[in-house]
Amino acid sequence: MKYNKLKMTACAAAALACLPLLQANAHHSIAGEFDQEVTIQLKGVLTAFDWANPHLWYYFDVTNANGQVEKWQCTTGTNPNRLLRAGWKKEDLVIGSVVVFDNANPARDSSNTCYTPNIALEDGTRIFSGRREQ
Amino acid sequence: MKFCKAKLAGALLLAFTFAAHAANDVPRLSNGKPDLNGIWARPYVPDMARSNDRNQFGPGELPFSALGRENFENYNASEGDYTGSCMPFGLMRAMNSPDPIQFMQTDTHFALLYEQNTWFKVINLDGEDHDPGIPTWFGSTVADWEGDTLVLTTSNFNGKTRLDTLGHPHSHKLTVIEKYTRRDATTMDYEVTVDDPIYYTEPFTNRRVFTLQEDFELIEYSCEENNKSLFEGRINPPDYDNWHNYDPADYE
Repeated sequence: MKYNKLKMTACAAAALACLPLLQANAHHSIAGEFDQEVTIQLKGVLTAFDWANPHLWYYFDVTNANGQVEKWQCTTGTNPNRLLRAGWKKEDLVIGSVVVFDNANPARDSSNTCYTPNIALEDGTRIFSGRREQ
Repeated sequence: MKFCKAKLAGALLLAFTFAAHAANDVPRLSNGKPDLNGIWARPYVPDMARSNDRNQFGPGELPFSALGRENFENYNASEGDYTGSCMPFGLMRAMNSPDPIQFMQTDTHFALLYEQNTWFKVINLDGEDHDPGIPTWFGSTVADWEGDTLVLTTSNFNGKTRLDTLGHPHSHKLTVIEKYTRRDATTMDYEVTVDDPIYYTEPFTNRRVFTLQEDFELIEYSCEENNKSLFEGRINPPDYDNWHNYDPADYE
């Protein structure tokens, strides 16, 4: 079974422990809901997102090869509590932004739903990931 | 010979000095017991068998019994996910969570406040068995001190959870022995031994290090408030009729 590795920030001082900035979903087994043998790439315009527990959800419009707009929803598995501690605020992500989900796993129910450890803006900037740079 | 003795004496003195220094770094309550109070960061342990050579150390291979191996190999979270359904995680799954935990310790009680799903557990430190007479998700705990180590022995589980995210099983006959040893001002050793005579042939131990987070406050965490996966049917509660591959009546 695949699961994400723990990522650690750099320690501020030897006396302080590294704060684990988890990217795996500790709430439940990802593989139970998403097919981790398949990866897809998605890019679209963010229309809304849920800043709520147990984990964030993002809603975005993807224009497919036929020019049709598909409604998608994806989760990155983290939650507001961890993001707040990492310095992030809900206002850091703007509705209308172009968002990119790399290496996303589609839901097993074949709906337009995915899981990915990371969300990025169109210029490659990781958002809601790691510690927020001041 | 005199030189060797001098070096040995110096080394011993240095070791004693470090030990004394470390011991002096451990804050204590007025009753003399180590103070375990505070909010602690913990490593996420999705697999109790593994180690990361940093802050969690597992046994490598779990000593499955035939029943345990069969249960684990047949476990499929897509067929029923209790944590995904926001049901109680149970003791081990809750201790394996990456979210902070707050310990509140008095002379008489030790409370564990889990940020994950905003659960809590209160343990009486009188050394007595406070088994309520019904099996529970988090079990019934008897507390004791071994020197400066708080030892919590928990049993009487309802058997409706698993040990970790990977799904290592446990039966209703599970006993968990946890040892909390505050190492110094900012760290605590946590050692847990899993003793399950149905699914494992012998006890196994997992160790990890907790780190004090003085600038943290616990934040409410509602698992249910936006569990889209459950609401939209991609996650289902477990089929508890087929959770175990043994008859409890055979182990009474």
